[in-house]
Amino acid sequence: MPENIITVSDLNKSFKKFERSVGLISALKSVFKRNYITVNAVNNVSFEVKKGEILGYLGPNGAGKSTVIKMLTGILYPSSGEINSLGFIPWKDREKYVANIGAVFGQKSILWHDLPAIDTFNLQKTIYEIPDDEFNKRLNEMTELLNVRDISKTPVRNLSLGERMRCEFIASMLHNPKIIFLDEPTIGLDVVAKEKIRGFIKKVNKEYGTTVILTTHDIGDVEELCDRIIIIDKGIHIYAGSLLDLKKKYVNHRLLKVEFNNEVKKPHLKHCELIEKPDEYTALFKVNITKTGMTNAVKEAFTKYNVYDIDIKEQSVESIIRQIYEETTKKLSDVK
Amino acid sequence: MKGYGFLITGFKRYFAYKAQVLAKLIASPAELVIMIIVWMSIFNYSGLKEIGGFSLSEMINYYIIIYIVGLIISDKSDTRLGSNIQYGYLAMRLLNPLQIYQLYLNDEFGEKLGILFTQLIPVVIISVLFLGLNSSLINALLFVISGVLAYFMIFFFNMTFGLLYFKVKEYRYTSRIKNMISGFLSGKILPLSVFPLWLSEVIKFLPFNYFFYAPANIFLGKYSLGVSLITLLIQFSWIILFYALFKIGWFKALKEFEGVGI
Repeated sequence: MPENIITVSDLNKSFKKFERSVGLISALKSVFKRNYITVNAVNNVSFEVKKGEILGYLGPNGAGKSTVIKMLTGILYPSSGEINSLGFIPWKDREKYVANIGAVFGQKSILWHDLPAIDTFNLQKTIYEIPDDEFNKRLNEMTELLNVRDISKTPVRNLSLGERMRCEFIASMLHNPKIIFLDEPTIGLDVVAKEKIRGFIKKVNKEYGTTVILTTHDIGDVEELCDRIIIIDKGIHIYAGSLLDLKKKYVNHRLLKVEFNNEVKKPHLKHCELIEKPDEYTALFKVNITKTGMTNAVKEAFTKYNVYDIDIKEQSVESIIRQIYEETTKKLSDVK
Repeated sequence: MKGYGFLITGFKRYFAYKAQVLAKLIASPAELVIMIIVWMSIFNYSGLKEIGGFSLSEMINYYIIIYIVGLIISDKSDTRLGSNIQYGYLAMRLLNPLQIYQLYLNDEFGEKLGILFTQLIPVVIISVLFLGLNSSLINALLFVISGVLAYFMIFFFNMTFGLLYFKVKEYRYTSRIKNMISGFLSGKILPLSVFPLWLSEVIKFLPFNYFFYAPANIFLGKYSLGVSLITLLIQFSWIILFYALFKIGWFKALKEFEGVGI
């Protein structure tokens, strides 16, 4: 059993925000008097991360993901609670601690905008005091892997988003960090670029044993990369476990596509909802598997209709997660 | 020193845009030329031989030296901190295993190195050869030390002032007001001896006159050796004070930091 590399206990973070109603007068008023409200961005969050795992940290916008990541990277002080990461308290031992971690924030760059990426790579070499041979070895390996040899000499401002992100990854990984934090690293990227980045993350995790903590809205990232996921909403953890367990726990339906040999006007199956009917020969059902087994639904289809073909699809992870978000929002508003 | 990488990127960034380098070369001496013309007219029309203890040629020398000091000590670390806070880049800077002031200082040194080659050395050569700027060797040496100390003073003063932006969030106009006041009280706009006596007495107790006025007077030989050495000591004390204030304020400010924008 690998050891815990990060332990988070009872973490809280609240912010003061000022509120202003719309309109010109209130804009003027707000110069003199402001109404501040306290927002609890993170509420009593506790979790552990094991050495070498890829953890997906998921949640809708404004759920508190980035705030937790920022506390984990030592950028923010928590309002209360504790983090022990690699034996450090991130915000207290920041300078020593950050030498051991890497971070890629999809929305912000660590590359110098005006200079070619290679200059930032060299900068990283000096600030992390990477020995020459190790630097060259890693740089070669990663430029090969991410295919950036031709672009590392172009000023960053002239790179496309996909090219820039590949360079961001190299810059953040040159010092061989023990943990890497990725905050929406594939945001805005095309399919090919996403594939490249995912392949890279997998390889780094496997070959160097780098622990990866990943926030993303892209379920593809989760399915392809994450051993385990945590879902946070409104600052509270609402799920923690493997993707497989998530499916077991939350999957309540499957999709059944039935193609008929003859025209069927109004197809109907017990405990199934007709969700799509592209033409007279095809029907798509949502089968509620908490009420009936798939076999029952299929049997019924075959007995009732002249069936040409069937196709069964699992509920997508995306829709499971959406379902969880919606359930929490409902629960929280019921409590209020 | 881990931070020297920032010195290299700072130097490279100074030369990243050709047009910017050229514009700086043309725009920055313009202020000096204007000041010289203004004072020539003042002396000419008033018929005075001396204003605030400065003759016309001394006054011209004063502004040349103020211009040179300006090249050495110009510092925008407070607005840099302000924009880093406002646009969320501070979070990225905090991911570096360095103290924030080491990072900014190295980056500034890189830029200063660019200024040294493209502006400072040419201006000094032109001033000495064609504008009659001169000083004794010892005063020139003391001036260089005082200029460097003035730079560290203004750097830590600006860093401390920049902590305000954690609270205020607006940095552009706030910093303009600060620059206006400190420019006026530092002798950048007028030699302080031109002011009424009571005002120049008050100013002595403020740090600002050690930014411009004191180094300029050391160069021009207006201070005795003893006064010059005391001046260096006072400058050094101010650096320690601002550094301490910054360190204390920084840890308090970080607790308030919200890390927006990422």
